[in-house]
Amino acid sequence: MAAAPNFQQLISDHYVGLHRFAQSLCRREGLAEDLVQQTFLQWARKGHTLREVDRAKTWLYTTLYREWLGIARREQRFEHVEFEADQHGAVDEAHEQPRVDSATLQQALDQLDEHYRSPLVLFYLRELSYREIAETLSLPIGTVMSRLSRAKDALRALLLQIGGIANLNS
Amino acid sequence: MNPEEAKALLDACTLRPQDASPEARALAAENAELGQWLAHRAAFDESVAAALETMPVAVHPGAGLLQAMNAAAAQSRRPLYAKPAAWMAMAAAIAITGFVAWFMQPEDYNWQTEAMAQVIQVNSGDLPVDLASEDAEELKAALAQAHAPMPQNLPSGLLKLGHLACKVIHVAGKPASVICFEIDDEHEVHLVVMNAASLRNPPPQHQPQFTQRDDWHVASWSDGAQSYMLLTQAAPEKLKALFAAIGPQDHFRVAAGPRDLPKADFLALALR
Repeated sequence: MAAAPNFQQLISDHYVGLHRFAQSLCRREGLAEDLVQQTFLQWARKGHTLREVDRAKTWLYTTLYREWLGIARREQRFEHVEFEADQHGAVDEAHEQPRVDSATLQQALDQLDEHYRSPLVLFYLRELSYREIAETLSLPIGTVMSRLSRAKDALRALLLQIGGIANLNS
Repeated sequence: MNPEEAKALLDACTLRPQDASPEARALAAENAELGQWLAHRAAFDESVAAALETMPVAVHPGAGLLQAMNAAAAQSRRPLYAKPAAWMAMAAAIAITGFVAWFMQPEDYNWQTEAMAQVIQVNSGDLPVDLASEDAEELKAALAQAHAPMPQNLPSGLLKLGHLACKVIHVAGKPASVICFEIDDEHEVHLVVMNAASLRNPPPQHQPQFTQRDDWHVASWSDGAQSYMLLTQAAPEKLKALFAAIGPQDHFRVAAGPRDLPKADFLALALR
């Protein structure tokens, strides 16, 4: 069995990714920081019970997500709205690629429904496989795959829409 | 694997192509249309991932977090599994609770309500699954490790569904297995498996009972020593169709006769 990663290594490897994921969930800087810290503290208390230490990364993302679900439930911020392609404008793959920068991306992600944003951000962080994303979000793999596909379409439509508005204003 | 299935898998692996199956990758190499779509999609995904990497993270952890982690670790108690006495006490408590739970079940106790409440939480994500996997072997191993009931005879329509997850819950003080399948693009169907002996009022043998509770459609039946319940928010016809692949009763009659047809073993769960 591999040795458990030390705390410093864990923070160094995963703080930024976890923070980006937390920020995408709660969209509040202070709360995102709290979520990440709480996740690392949970690891300090319970990480030693994890039998497969090479799954520490998945454990961290899963724990953060569950912490967030608890907060969201208390704040009742977690409403499930299914993505309607027509609402965002379905996109033909043959059309041009939208230009993406971090500000535009943040704007587009903020407009995405939470159920699509979570798997999408985990996907784009490149840290987890789709199977690990399913495990982290406690969703069937098929559901994750279909949500990813729809979320990418929605994101692309939003990016094009935001880019179009920016061009009109410039 | 057809191009649509390959497309779904490849789409989930554009940034980690090694995660896609060789079959899907081969299909993308052979099929020009699929290959072109994948290249286009991968380019988009790479640009988004690159933009995400440049998104500023305002707060960086200082030494405070490391100190807090060290303090939390020092304060955490010795784990329970390291204490044999705790194990024995826990085992005794579970045994007593299980016996009392069975003995105290009133005649009108509805185990389905108790199971359903937990399945609804699993469905919403409020109750995490124990394992999400397409691999029936992995799920079987997880259930076996937890000493949870293993389904024996299943409706033939259910065997054709894919994308699985599992969880062990407790109903009437006894372990029950929950296995999640994807019944259509929008809905899952959840199978609950219990040992019939754990229940005072198990559903009738070989005769699925269909009911509706709020927006959930439910089928329950017993088969031999096991009782089953299927729950879904998909249309009721889809639930009934799971039992109709051979005929409403034929499945059970045939499946019950091992010389006529091999048992629908859990291992045989077909993955899409």
